Amino acid sequence: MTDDELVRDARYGSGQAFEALFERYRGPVWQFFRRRVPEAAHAEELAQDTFVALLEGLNRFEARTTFRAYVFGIAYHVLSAYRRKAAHRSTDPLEFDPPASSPGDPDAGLWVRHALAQLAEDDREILMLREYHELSYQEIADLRRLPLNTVRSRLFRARMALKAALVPTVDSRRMKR
Amino acid sequence: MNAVHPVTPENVMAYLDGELPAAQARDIEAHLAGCDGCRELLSELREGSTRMREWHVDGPPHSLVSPPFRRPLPPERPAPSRLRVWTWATRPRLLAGAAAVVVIAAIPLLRPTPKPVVVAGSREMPETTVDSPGDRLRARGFAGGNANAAPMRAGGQIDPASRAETADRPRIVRTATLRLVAANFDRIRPAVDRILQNIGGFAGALTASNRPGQPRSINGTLRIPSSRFDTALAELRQLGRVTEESQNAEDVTATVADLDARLSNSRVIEKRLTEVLQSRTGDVGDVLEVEREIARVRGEIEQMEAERKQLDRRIEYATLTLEIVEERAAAVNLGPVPIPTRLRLAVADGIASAATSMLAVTLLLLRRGPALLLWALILGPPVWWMLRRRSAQSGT
Repeated sequence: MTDDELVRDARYGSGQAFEALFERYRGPVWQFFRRRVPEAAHAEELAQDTFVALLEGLNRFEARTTFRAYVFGIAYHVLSAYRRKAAHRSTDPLEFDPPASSPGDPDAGLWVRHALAQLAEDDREILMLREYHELSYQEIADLRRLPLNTVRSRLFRARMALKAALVPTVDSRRMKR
Repeated sequence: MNAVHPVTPENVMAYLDGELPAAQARDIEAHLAGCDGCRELLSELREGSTRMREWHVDGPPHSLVSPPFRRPLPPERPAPSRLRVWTWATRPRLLAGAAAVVVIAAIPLLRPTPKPVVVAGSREMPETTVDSPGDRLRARGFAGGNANAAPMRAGGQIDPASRAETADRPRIVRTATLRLVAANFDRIRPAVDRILQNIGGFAGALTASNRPGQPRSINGTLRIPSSRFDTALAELRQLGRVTEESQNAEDVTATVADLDARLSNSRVIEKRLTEVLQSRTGDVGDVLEVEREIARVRGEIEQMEAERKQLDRRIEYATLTLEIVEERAAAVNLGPVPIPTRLRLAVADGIASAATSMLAVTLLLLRRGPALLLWALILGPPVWWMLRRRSAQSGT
């Protein structure tokens, strides 16, 4: 069943339909927070909050956008609220992420996170929404309340900045060999 | 790439991301075939995406589970505002006077026909306000939320969307009766409490009886969230042997829709009457008449709001009449009874039986005696006369 069909059934009171939606987005929503929040416990709590908000606001979802974008929109708002509360933390959460478990080069994930941490926050968010959550330009524009062209230009800028930030990594890897 | 380059780097990126219209994508594709710079850019962008995917994260923890499903709350819509139109209409005093006459004349037509709404006698219902922030908070905490409550809008005319929405969703009041016989009676009360706690229900009334010579029993009325009614019934059935069970579902969708419509109408009337009063046109008699109407309409609104709240509570919380009786342990516990005891019990039973039969005859005489006496007085003389005549005839 498609997302829209499951949403329709859930609105009519089907717990199984909501359960199916939850299973479909459990991993992506978890990854969304895990990549942005230092502590796993907080990430889990925020993911839980997202699904509670999703359930409460299921009737507010409109077919103008995809349900996927709607889910990440809620997740983004939950994350924003969390960051406002944790505003006293002056350091970037990405710097404190735990070591990633990469099947190949164990350092690869670390370098990527380090490179991402060097980007401007807006650019980084847009880049991550595109690369990790596969939102379209329009969906990102709706979520961030930005013009479509702005999203496009910032995404390009972010990719170029990431490439520049990753160049030393490539050099160091070559040196290791 | 310079200013005259036909393809911008951002277009190359959009091509890679599949964000271009088909025709433009074909153009870019054709351009890439002959442009080394753009191909290199494309390759770099692909490389960047590949590198980003090297950051893996673990899967979600097992403790991340779906929140308990509750039917989602209806979307909040702003109440339709008629204030602007009315303000425009009431500005000239002449129009205000005319409006007052029209409204007062229309009141008898708009006055809703009172319809009785069955209200549950809920003694210990938790206080809930329809569609209030508190409900949403309770829903968030998964306890006692009012997720089924239909929107009640302050002011405004009948909202067709709201009526359609209410009509679309069946509003069911569920009731059931469950009678059980339980062998291990000591664990029943804690088990009932535990079930109520798990499902977020509560006991409207619960009486435990432990009279000498009689099996212990628990009687009560349980209020259970409708969404978990079946679960609660299934768990309660496990407590013993079911001797009687009945369920009833009353569809109150039409009642809710009707009540909403009447409520909305009354609010419109109250609003208009208030406007009329503020314009203060007409003589004192008219003003007093409007004030009386406002008081009457306000009373009706409050009554209907209370009815609506009660109805929502009945919809939200199903009612279960529960009776659990201890399985008679006497036959098990008596064991071998000595003969003197049995004789004494037999004598006692005989005396009790005689007393019971005497009491029954006395009661019968008291209940039927007057009627029998009356008929004896009516029928006795003719019968006596006929018998006497027959005996006289047989004598001759």
